[in-house]
Amino acid sequence: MNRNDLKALDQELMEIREATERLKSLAIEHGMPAAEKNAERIMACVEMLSLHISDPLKLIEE
Amino acid sequence: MTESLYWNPVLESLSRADLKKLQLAKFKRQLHRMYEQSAFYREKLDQAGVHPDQIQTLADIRRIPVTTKEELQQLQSNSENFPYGPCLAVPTDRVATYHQTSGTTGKPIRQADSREDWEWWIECWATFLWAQGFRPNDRVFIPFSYGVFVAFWAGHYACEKIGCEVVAGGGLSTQDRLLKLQELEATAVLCTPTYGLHMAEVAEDMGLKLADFNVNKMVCAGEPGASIPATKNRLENYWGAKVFDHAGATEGGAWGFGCLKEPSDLHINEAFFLVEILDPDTGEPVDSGEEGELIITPLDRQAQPYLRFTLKDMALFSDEPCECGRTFARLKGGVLGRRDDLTKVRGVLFSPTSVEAVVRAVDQLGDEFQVVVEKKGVLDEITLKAELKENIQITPELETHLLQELRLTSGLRFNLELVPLGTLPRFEVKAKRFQDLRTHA
Repeated sequence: MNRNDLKALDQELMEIREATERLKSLAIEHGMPAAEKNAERIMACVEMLSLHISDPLKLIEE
Repeated sequence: MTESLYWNPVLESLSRADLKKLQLAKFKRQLHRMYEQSAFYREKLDQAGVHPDQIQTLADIRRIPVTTKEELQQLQSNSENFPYGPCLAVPTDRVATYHQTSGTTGKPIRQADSREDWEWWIECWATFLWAQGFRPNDRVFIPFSYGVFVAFWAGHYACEKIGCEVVAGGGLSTQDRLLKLQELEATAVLCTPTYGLHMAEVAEDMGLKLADFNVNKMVCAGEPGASIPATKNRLENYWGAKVFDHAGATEGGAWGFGCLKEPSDLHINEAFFLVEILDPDTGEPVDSGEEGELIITPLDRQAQPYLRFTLKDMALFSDEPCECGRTFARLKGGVLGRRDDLTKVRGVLFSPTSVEAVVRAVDQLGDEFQVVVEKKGVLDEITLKAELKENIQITPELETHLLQELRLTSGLRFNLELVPLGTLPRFEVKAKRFQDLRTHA
């Protein structure tokens, strides 16, 4: 996997992170714990993806 | 597209230099986070006169004082901020799971993990299960009730993440577990080495041959047995399966694993952990090929993180390339012993692990044994109690051989009690085979 592949994965990940954060905010605003708590679970997975993708990308881009 | 041999091909094949850069970057991030969020570590660092900005190299890290289990026990014994004490680095509503250590070496440590930490545990396990050949077509049997202990919970959900089918085998007798294992044609088992051996013994009593079952791999956790060649050989022969070790600790995380190419060694997951291997006398890092004590920093843990936690495990460090292609350093022959377990008998430093290697290498002996040290007058007496396999008679040759091997391995003269099979206690999770009766005098 080269730098560009990793960058493409990271780009997708950023979009998922932003979308999940929006989803969680909306869920809180509309009072839907089911959406809020599932968004939190997605965020925990996003954090793991970040360890796998964003951390090594930063290293490569240094 | 061919299937990847690695859970994360990028992290697992970084050059050694890049791995060190990654570790330093992650350590610094973690250190800043902990200084801001953990009352315990802020105070500890302030007392040591170390500010996170001063840590700029991996060598600088040794300026940070180590964290010991005794320190954590002391902190948590204070009723303030129950149950985790000042170790907790997140608000309590972010704690998702409670686990605790087994308390083998004193009062159990209570461990908090956030939702992110829990994913991290699962991720660490998934990394090595994938390296050991676990795939979505596996049906994994875990013959335990996991209770408050973290390892098999993490193993369970890591199998699930990989896509395996997981069977939680708690709440059954050993006989029923064996029948369920056979009925479901499970392909893999996660257990302690002690229980893997016990299941083999019970299977034999039931007239079952484990090697005829469908199990082709076993991962052992909780005890170092699967790294002891004689114990690993016994398990592999009984089960007709490849046996892998895994190293972890409730405080440290799941940090080490055997791979398919070198299953007797342990790779350190250096993308997620900084494991320092230090000379216990000088505190300096050992070179490849030398033995040292392990100090661990999980680099991504948040709720109850640790800086430089002393595992008290001793191991032989190697940074030679592995045939599996991973660049992660290895511990040759796994964890060699615990400093905690070392005790002086008649002035000689003695490790109970050395006895396991002797007993398991003698075909006439069963799997269970006990070592008892007691004071007789002014002298220490050490006795090995071991079980003879069925239809095996005590002979002078057998006794002489055992006593010689024990003497060679430990430097001590043992007393010997050979007892019939089934006499000594059996264990499900961690075995307690060493009794030092001198401490109760």
